[in-house]
Amino acid sequence: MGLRGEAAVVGYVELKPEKKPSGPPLTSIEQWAQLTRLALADAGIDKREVDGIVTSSIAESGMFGPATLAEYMGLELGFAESIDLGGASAAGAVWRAAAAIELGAADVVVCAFPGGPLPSPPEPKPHPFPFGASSAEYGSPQAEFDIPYGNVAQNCGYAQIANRYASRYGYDPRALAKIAVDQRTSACGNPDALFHGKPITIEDVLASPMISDPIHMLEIVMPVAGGAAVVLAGRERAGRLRKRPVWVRGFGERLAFKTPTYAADLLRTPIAEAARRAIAMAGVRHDDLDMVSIYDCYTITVLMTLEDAGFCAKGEGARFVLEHDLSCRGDFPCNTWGGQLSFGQTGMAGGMHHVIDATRQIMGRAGANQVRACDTALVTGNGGIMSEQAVLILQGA
Amino acid sequence: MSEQRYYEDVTEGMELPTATRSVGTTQMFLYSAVTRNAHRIHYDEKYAQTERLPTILVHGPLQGAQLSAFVTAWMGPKGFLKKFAYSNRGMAFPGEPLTLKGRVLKKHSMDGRPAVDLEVWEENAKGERLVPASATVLLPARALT
Amino acid sequence: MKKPVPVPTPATRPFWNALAEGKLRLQQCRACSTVFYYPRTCCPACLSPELDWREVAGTGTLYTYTIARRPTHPLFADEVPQRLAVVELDEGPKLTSTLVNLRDEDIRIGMRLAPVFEKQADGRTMLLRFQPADESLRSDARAEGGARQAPLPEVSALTPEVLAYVGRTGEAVTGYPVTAEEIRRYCYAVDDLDPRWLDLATPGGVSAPPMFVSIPFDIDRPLHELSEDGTALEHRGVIFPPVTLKRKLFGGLEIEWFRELRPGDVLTRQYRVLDIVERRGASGPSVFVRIEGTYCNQHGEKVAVEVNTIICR
Repeated sequence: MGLRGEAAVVGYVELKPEKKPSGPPLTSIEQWAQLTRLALADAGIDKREVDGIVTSSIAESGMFGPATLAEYMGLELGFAESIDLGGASAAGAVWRAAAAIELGAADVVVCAFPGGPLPSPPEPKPHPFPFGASSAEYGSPQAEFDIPYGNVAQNCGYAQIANRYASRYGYDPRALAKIAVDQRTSACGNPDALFHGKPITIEDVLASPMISDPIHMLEIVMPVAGGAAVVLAGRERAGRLRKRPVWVRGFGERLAFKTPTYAADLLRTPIAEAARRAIAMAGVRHDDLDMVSIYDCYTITVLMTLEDAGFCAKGEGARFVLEHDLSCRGDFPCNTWGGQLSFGQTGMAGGMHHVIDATRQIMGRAGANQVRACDTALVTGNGGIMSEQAVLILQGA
Repeated sequence: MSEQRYYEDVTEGMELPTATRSVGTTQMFLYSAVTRNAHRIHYDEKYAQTERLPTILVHGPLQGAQLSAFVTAWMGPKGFLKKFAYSNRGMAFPGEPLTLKGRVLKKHSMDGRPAVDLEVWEENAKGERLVPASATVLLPARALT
Repeated sequence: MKKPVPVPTPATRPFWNALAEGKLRLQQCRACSTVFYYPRTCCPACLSPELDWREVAGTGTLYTYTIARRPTHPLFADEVPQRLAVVELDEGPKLTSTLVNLRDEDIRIGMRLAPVFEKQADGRTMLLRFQPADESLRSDARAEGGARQAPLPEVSALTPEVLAYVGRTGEAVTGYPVTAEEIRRYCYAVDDLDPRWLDLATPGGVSAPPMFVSIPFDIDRPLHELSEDGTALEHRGVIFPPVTLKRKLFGGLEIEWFRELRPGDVLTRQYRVLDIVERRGASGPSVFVRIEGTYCNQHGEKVAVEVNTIICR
């Protein structure tokens, strides 16, 4: 059971994040086409070879998104998938693409996640998601039981998780802050990162404004415009490319709730089972991992992932963080491009940067931030409020 | 201090030898200390008066412990206090003469062991039962020793 | 854009209708007895559509919270700082709410909470918020705010919340090790000079007098853990139902012993609420709460079981 490891990430594109977009706004469909062109160019694959796509929802096509994309880009597809797993969508897309390739449904699959601003129509419409990730539609449980209490958006949910964690295991704000600091160290070696050239200290993090107790501003991602895509290909096609293929060896996925209020146990995240499955499928051990790229919407997400994915015991995350250097130069390289905390969060594309972080390291293209002899990596995707989890094991050989 | 009492020596209705006690402030101090009880009602007269008491109050559990010791002394070193129950019905004040009394209610066997049920109590000079209590003791039997 | 209020669906309408009357109703599955929140057309545990509505007290504990210093959405700017809570009801389900009528510094995960039925600005919608069950922790900080609290429904002494405590256990607490010196100190205080407790030459060594069993749990406390009257502010392992009658009287103690206690033994005590009974007398109602305490030694062997009767009136 599981993947045979015969599908690989063979190319990618990562748009430079921008706080204030410089170019003209493009529709999601237009952004998709742009990302596809750039990712295929990176892979060295012709557009006519593409026979599969995985996409998040397309703003202009609430229905028939994949078919509209195929039509727009002139593609003929054997595999088309629309994925709705929040920040876990990118990792979820990659294993679905790999599975489709191994099953023979497609040979070259593009997974693209636009993250740029959309053009405004001449007659502005109300925002389609006025409460962000909480659906305000009639009949939605969130609309009825969460939004009226102000339980909206992400900060409060993650803060509630952090406080619950604190009541059970204690809480060292310095350890949480160090996660952001170590990632900033890596970002200082990545000219594309939003916070390139702006090193920070633990004191800076703790002195930043408290947004939602116990989470400080510098422990939260900053939304930016951007976009990212990867191309996957099967063994035969990947073998004829010049770049080192990055094989998808294992995956795990887990979700059971939308709003953390209704989680059976907030301190046992779905990460645990997703990671256990991915690691078991790939047949690797934690020691085999040369780097990790852990979804980092908040510092607490990283801390709990370290624990639940088995890098340290439950409740030991803070000590683990304090005992290891998590920067690209350190003994436990994590989010070596700076993480979303320092690169910026490109909306739904945010999770794809973690896939690309690991891919870039295994391909040996990380430049100043290159981790020595990087062959095996673990990537996590985290959607909702630690509610949707996808984990990948990527390998160079 | 106490002689051994055997099951055969006990008859239903027999009375326990009465004992007299008087709990003074020194003993109350010791009991507060060993129970780590800093409640001012047991040593601070002014505080006790704010609680509308004439003076400081003897610890209820100390009265229970004295009654229990009254029973263990009666049963002797080879007896085993199996059950003891008491409640504090009235207050006792320092220096007040208190009398411990008791009688045998029933002889029976408990899990195959000779057992005796007792009624014991502590009363004040007016004969008010401040602390009614009951006990079941397991006693050795001569026939078995 | 107006502040969002819940719009009931046919399936959830009974819930909101009850809430409007100051009552909290939860659904319970007829097939598997699961009690759940929020209301649905099927049981999330077994998917059975056979469900009953059950009125509950609405009391619970704080599962987690955060204080949002920036509004979670511009429409909630008037509520900043938002005390966003997850409340675990005594029946088990968790729900989203906010904390009201208390100070931030008094918020503790695990604190007991009582419901507040709060009518909204639209004059129709009732929301369920929570305040401390402990009245001394309540503040009237919100009294001047726009939202006004509906009066709590009248309750009898034996509320479902109180009765829910029957069978509950407190934390198991380990006492300090039994020593010959401590036994001696106790015997001197009780004036029990029986050599079996005191004479170290006793064959088999000394044992502790039976009533000594609770002494290792009388722990030393720093001054700041004592209240004005000298009593301890907090007792570990103690569990007691939130009876509204204020006066608590010691009603008596029953103990049964199973084995002797000797120096070197280390006892663990766990309390359990045995039963709660209401009696009505000339002076009004009294509630008798019986709490069982089980003492085990370091080998897990039962040493004694006590039953305390506490009378609330």
